[in-house]
Amino acid sequence: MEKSKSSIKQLFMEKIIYVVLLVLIIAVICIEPRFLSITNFKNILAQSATRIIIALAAGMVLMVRGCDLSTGRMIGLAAVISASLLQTTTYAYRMYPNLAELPVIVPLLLVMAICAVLGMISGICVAVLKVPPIIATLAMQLCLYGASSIYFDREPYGAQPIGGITSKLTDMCIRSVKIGPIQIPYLIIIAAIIVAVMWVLWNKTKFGKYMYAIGGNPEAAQVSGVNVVKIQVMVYALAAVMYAVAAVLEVGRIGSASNTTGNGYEMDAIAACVVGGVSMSGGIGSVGGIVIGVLIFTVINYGLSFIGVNMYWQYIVKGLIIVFAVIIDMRKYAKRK
Amino acid sequence: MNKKLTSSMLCAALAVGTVFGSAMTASAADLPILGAGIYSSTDNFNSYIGKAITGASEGVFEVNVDDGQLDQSTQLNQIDTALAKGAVAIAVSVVDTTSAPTIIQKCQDAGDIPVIFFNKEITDKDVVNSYENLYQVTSTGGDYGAAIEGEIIVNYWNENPEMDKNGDGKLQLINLMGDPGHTASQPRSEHVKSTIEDAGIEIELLEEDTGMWDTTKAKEKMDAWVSKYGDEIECVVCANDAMALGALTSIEAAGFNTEGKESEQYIPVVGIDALPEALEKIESGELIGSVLQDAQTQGKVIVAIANNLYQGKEPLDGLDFEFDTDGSKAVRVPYSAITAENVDEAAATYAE
Amino acid sequence: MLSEYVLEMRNITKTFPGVKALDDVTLKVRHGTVHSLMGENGAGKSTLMKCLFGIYGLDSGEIILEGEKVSFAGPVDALRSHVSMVHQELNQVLDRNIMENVWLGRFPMKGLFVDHQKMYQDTKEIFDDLQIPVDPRAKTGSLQVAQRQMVEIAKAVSYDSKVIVMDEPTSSLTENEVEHLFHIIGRLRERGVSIIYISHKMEEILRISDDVTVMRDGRWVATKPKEELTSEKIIQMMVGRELKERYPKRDTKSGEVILKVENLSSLTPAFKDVNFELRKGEILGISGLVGAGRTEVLETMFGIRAKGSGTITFRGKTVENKTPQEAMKNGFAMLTEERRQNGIFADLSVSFNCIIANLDIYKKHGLLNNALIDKEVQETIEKIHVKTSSPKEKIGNLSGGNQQKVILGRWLLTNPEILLLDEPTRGIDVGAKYEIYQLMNELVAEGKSIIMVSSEMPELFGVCDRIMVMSNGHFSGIFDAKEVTQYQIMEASAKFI
Repeated sequence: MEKSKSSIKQLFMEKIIYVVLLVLIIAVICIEPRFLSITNFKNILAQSATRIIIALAAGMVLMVRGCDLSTGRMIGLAAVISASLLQTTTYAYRMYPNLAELPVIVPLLLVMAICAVLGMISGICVAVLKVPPIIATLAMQLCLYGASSIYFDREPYGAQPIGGITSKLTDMCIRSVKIGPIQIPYLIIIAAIIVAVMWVLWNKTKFGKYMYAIGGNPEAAQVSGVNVVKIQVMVYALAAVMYAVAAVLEVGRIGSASNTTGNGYEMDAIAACVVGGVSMSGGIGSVGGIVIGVLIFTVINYGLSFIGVNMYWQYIVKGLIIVFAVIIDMRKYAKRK
Repeated sequence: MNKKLTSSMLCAALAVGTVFGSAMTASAADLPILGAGIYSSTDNFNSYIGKAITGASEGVFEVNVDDGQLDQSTQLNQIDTALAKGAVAIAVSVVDTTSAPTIIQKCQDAGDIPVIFFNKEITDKDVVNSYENLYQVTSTGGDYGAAIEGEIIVNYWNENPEMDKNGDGKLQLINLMGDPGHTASQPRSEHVKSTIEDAGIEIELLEEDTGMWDTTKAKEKMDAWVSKYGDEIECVVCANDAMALGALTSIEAAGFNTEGKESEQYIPVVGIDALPEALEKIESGELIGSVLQDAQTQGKVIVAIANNLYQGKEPLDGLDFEFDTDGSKAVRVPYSAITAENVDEAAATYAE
Repeated sequence: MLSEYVLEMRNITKTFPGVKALDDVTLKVRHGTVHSLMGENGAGKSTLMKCLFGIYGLDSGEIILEGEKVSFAGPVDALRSHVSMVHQELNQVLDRNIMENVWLGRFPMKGLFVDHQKMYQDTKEIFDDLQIPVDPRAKTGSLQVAQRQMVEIAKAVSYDSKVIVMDEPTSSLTENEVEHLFHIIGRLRERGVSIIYISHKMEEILRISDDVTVMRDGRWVATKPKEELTSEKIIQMMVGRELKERYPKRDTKSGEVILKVENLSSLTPAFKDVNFELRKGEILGISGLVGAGRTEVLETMFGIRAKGSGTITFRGKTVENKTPQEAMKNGFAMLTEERRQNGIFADLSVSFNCIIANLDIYKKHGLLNNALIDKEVQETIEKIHVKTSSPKEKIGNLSGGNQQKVILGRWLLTNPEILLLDEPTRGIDVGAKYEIYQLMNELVAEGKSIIMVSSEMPELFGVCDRIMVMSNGHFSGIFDAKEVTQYQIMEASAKFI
């Protein structure tokens, strides 16, 4: 009897973030019943889509005891490069006035490749040269901001947002596909596919298991035959490739890019991971948790705007949720001791 | 082995140094130095003035516009460096207006070097009058273009009766404000509303919140509001174009405005800054208008004042401008309304 | 009237959700005695001590210190009442010098400043008194574990402790260092200090204890003066059944030579020119003092440590084993010494810990298959007798012995030919040790070969076929375990010092 009670309590603790999400949604609905509509939930999912991709990437890095502060700037660089190559030919202020209109896939692959190399550099600094991850990625962050600003802020139009993005991309990021009676935004579908791929990668492949192993105990992983250096470098590179994908989607969603695009996304991503149960010291975390973590923040953003709570309060609510999540997490482990 | 590595690294460092060095000192060496700084390259208009200063300085000053990166201490370091290099004048858009006395002190200590504050106005008259060699260049009035923005809406209301969708004689308005820490934020929000009300149009404010000048944030706020109010919204007024473009993306995703003014459902959106991208949208009718802050002219005036003072002339010698009579020692460069009729005018300022 | 006991813990009961960790336990410690506390892992020794120091609250029972009922709010509070603990894992600020560690939190002051002179003298006085040959000004990190432990004891003395709890103090000490420690304990006892001594090592207990309390499954079993005890009796009380032999019998014979190590040297000066052969189905022990280079030999063979020179020939073929991955491919497996540090993934499941070294075989259509994994893990758990509520349980929640079995299981799944075991039974209770020996016997019976490093002489005699001795980085002899004496091994260990 006592045992089942404690296991219910334990289950509650394990799934606490789902409860938090549910409570938030119910609270918003109680205050503003109009919130309960398919459009709103679609909007929330669509707004979460790129963030989920980013948070999963950042989460992978956290999982292997890393930390990536260059997330936002990497997205910024990928955004300005891809945006500059994706302007419609009729737009008056093109960065490359004579460039033919490219299929979306070309700039996408290009920025994925560029980011892969940059991510690999971060990974090598961390795994091979043993630079602490915060320092390595902080340095990367600064370099990337410089590079994207140089690329972005130049003649003839100077530091103007790169607009006039081709409708081939914006349509994909704004429009929906009709499945049965409901319209589902493409963005949600893309994010869902990436989530599924990530889930398989984390749970069903050697790479994923090794990620958990390295995060759990790098020395034990080494002794167990895991090529720690290789996996770490791959994680940073893969994360960077995902940032590139997210950046292109972000360009399509917003319809423009500048050197400030992506600024501060690393903190949003890390916060979502932490709320989603990823351990800052690595080795613990799940794809589902991260997705929920992101959704919690979007619901706060969107829901509180919907009921007209001003922005400052939203910051306070977010801060409280982060601390609350970590306290619950600590309790989970303290209990076992 | 080690020696080889060291020497090759040294070579590389030298090479990099040479490249950067030559890039930085590209302009002719004997021109006087103008120390110029913007508060952040993330502010479009601010950095645009920076560009204009660079352009106007050609053949007059050697100039390198520093980016204050939203950090006052960074900016103060940059000013120290400029003064140490022997700048004959300082033109700066301060990160934090309250630190103006520190900058003045630095200029005074460096030998009464003139200082020109631009974009963000120093409103404390005691500070302004504490230093003779202090001048300011800003846009007209304390409304930061918002009165003009209000006028665009008033004109639109008068010319398009269908703007009052529900026919109640009131304007159902959504107001996206800028970063509250920015001087222009509050005045813009106030003046646009007061201009509309002064014209006899009653406002029903549906939502009012800050979008932090940011496209993404504005879009996400608008997602929620469009879902909540839909076609009840009669106007969206944004404190800058970046937010106007974000709001427009959201509105268009919900099926409004896609065909310009011919759209079945239309929500009028207005911004400020007349960014190139906004001009396109104004031309196509997706936005009803924006306000041009004349960066080119401001840059020219700043450089001209600096040059006059350097040559010992009156500050406004040879210029068509007067100082404002309010004791702010400020030159006011006027804003202008940009709508579908005069897009070309704004586009001209971006032409080479 | 002064009681005979300095400390009494009466009828202590402590319950955690679902588990009764302590059930009516009583511990009475006389003035100026060494009182050993024994029991298998999980018997409740640590919990009892945590209750003493106020880390856990009591459900019922009372603690009497020198006739007065006490209830400490925590270790610091206990210190003020002159009760202190020397931990298994030493909590010291390694970057500061020794005297600062001793006086941390109560530096002698001269006005506003720390009085370093007084601090030095006070520390020196205690060190001299206890005959600890360490300079109080040395950096703590530069000391060896044994010396740091003595510093901890000195710290306890500096608080004028009446009761000092020592938790497994000898687990990482060499024989000489253990002698020194016992010497210090003797001096403390003469000064009237009482020691609660927690250890698994039977020989030590019987040597230095005055009284022995045995616990089992959270219950008090017996408290007896040492004179009435033998190691068989203690073991019997601990495990609750009669364990006839501490080492299981084995009747397999080793076969032909399958591994040859010739002139093996490490890249660092850890060891030089080591030569030995290993036969099929043999258990080869490596003995020597801490720092003799034993662990380093195993690590070099497994590719964790860089090889300087020499060859390893396995089945007539030279193998390089430059990385652990390569060594695994060549049929080697290694159980490392520091289980917590580089053995287990504490926050991950038993199942995960079991399969991590051998993921390739669970693939189906290129992806890992849960059904295959679960089946294999279940089989392994049964084969090696791991006691766990479920394969999904976190390994960190298991006892040390069970953790060690899981790691051994991990390596068995890779189906190695040669197992390198570094201190496989350290910190494990008697019952689990026996099971690990049994497992080793089964493995050699299957024709696998084992090299085992151990600091416990009886263990080497009990389970090995031959014992190789290392001394200060050199090979100093190899003996048949049936014929060699403890003295000969000690002699060989000291050969190159």
